[in-house]
Amino acid sequence: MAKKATSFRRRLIKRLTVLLLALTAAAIAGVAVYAHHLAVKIDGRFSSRRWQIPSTIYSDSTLLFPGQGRNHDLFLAKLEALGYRRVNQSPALGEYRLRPGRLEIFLHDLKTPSQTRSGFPVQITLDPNRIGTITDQRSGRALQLLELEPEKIGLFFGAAREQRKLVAIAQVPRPLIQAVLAAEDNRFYHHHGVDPRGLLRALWANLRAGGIRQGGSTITQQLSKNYFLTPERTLSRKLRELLMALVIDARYAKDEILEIYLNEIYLGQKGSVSINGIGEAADFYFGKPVEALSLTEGAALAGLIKAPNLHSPYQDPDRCRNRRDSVLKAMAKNGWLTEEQLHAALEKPVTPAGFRTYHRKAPYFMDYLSEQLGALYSPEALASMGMSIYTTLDTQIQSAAETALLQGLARLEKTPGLRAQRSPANRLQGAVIVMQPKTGHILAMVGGRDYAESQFNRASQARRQPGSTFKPFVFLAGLERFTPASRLSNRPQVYEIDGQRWEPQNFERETAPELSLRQALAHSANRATVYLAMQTGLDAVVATAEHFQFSTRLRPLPAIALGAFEVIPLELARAYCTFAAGGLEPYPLSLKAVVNEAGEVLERRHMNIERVISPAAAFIMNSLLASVVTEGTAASLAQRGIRFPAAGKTGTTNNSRDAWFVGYTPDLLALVWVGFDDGAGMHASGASAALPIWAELLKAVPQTVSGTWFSPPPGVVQRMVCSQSGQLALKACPSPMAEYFMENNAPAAPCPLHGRRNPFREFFDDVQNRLHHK
Amino acid sequence: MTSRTAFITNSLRCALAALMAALLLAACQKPMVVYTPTDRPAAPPRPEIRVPEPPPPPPPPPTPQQAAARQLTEEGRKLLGADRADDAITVLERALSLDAENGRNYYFLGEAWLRKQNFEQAREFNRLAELYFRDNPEWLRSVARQRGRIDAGGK
Repeated sequence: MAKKATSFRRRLIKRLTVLLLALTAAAIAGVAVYAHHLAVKIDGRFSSRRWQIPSTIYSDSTLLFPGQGRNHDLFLAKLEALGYRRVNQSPALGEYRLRPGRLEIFLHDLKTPSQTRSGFPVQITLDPNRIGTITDQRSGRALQLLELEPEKIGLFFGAAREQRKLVAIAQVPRPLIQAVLAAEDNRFYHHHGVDPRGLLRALWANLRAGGIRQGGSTITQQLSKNYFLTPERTLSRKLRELLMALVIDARYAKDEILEIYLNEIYLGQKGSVSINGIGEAADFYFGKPVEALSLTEGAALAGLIKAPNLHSPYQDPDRCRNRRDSVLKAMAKNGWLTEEQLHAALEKPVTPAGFRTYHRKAPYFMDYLSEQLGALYSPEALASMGMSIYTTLDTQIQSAAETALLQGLARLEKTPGLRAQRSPANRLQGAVIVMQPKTGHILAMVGGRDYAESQFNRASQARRQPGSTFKPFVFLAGLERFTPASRLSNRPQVYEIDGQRWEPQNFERETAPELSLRQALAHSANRATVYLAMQTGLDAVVATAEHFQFSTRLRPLPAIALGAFEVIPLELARAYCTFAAGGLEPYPLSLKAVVNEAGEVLERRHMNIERVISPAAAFIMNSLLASVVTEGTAASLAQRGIRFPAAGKTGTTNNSRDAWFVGYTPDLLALVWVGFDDGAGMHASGASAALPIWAELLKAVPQTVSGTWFSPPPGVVQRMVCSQSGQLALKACPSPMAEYFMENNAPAAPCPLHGRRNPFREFFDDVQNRLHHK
Repeated sequence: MTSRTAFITNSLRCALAALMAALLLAACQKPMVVYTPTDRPAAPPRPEIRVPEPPPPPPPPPTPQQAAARQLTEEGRKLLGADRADDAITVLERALSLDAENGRNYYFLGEAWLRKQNFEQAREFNRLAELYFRDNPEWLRSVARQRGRIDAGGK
């Protein structure tokens, strides 16, 4: 019986052993299969795109040169926006020092699609309101030109709203790596992904504390957890983390794992955007590229890994410093710092760059840009491919335009008529567009007074009647037959339109029965303009205007002369650029280039010009529109401090629904529109509502004003003419004046009003003139 | 011939003579003075011995803004030399924003667009170069040669 029982036990043990062995083999096989599955998963993720990186949008670079006008406040704001830190000692990379009469800047590296330059120290002497000299402090050489790097103005975020700047392990300074290892995993180069010693130490610490105090996770485990797993604390997830860490360590080099980890880790919050990776954190916390981080800055960043927001220098500087000090001490304990180095480092304070949130700059411009980019890239690509998008925006001009519009509208709302009409739902609105007329670059765009309140872009989407700002196109058409000195009837006149009587009225009390063409435009005389349009031919006016590529359909009706057809403000600004650009109409550009992560240029946009009118006609128009500023409806610009030569045109539509001013110099064109979205009248004119905004804007950007004027091109002649007849002036003419003409229709006959009438003399003069002009 | 006919003939002769005299008088009369922009008196008759004219005054030194633009133009030219037409255009456009009357800038923009085989844009910039070099025969020859290459390429 006993023998039988023993035999049964042996058989049972044997069977159990076989079963156990089979189970163990199955478990090993299962783990092996699962490890293989993980390896495939890891390889798949690591070999493909590792992170979603939003594309970054940059402004244009900033040019500085001696003698350039300067708005001190805007310039310093620009330096701050570029991440330069103000210091009181000799500036290091990315710092500036302001001293009486001069500014010292240690420039950042410059990287644009067309050039790369390392940072270097410069000194700029400051004359009152101007740049004096610019000196390269390395060589003492005077510079004729200095280019500041483009400013980051926005990001195309995906749903994750993460921002990271990728760095290669070779870029990361050794002390920073040691600081990270000291803080997180000092045996990283010695274990195989999992550190049993670290696990035991953590277990002991947790037992003593009576709770979880230490994780004991290696850098590889943290990477597995952050990159592949969900954050819940379960045994199965921990086992997967351990297995994954072993697989990663077996398949990848230590430096490769560390590089991925340094680019992956979460290091804080910038508003609603998370800061990921050491590269972005270096910029956010210290305003530097990772290569330029000092030992103490590196230690502070390493100290953030444990609890980024708790230890952030922006949240709690003391706590940040304490944590940094503990990292420095851990480095010394590992033999990576000497006692002297440790003491010197502990003495240094933590000095962050200053909190900069991802404030959305120039939101209407960004929307306009997004529309342009939408034709090239999907929103997903923009949010994940980490492209650099270079634009034409000038952030100083944009800032000045936003301020001028807000202040101008606030000023207008204080006037009694407007105050009564104010309601939160229908506030007075405005738009500003600033362009470089020669190139078509959009330098600034403000599509409304508050983007948060209304995203409708009145600069590029609104269609409004241009009123008198359309008149220059009528006068341009008239230049085929008339000259600036031609006399136009300004008498009341009734026109029949579709059986309806229409009698244009003058806005100003301009009752002279006749005006010269120049006076008619300067004073925006409606009757004289309609007379000119009728004499020129309405079809000819439409044909001329169509050359400027307005997207709205124009019809040959007398009211076209007074701007009764709607236009898009951006199109109107573009059309005016043609005058300032010598007859070449530029295509409005917001995008300059798109560059991928590898620095390869994917897209370029260059200025695109098309000749619309002759240089001579453009010069005459500039001259006529300059009279608007010197003696016409925009003459108040002089009282508003505009002392440089400028041309422009005011515009006011029926019942003051729209107030316009389009003004320009050879360097810059700005359009201002003011009105209500629902078309309510505002009891203000272009000269009283839009023009002051233009003046404030231009005064705030003296760096863009050279004070030059257009030179007469071939085909333009100057003659002395009688102001009463418009013909060549005689000695007897009471008010002769110099006037520009296109050579092909300059007056040839002497003034018929003030000469002695000698038929024989006229006969000879006529023969002489005919021979002369043959 | 009757006395009446003779009277008419003589009257006609007298009238013709008077007309001729009037025309002669009108032709000799000082012409009506027309203002010129400078309202200068008529130039004196040219002297017999031609005095060599002084050389034209040197062009005024460039303004700091023009000097800055010229530096960019030079950079653009070098980029063009390095066969980087797109980069050259970007830099030359910046130069244009500082000084729009520099013929060299337009010439090199024409050259860059020619390299990119955009003959329409090349032609526009060539025309602008011609406009701003109108007083510089040497450059005008280069501009004309460039136009020839544009025309040949655009055919």
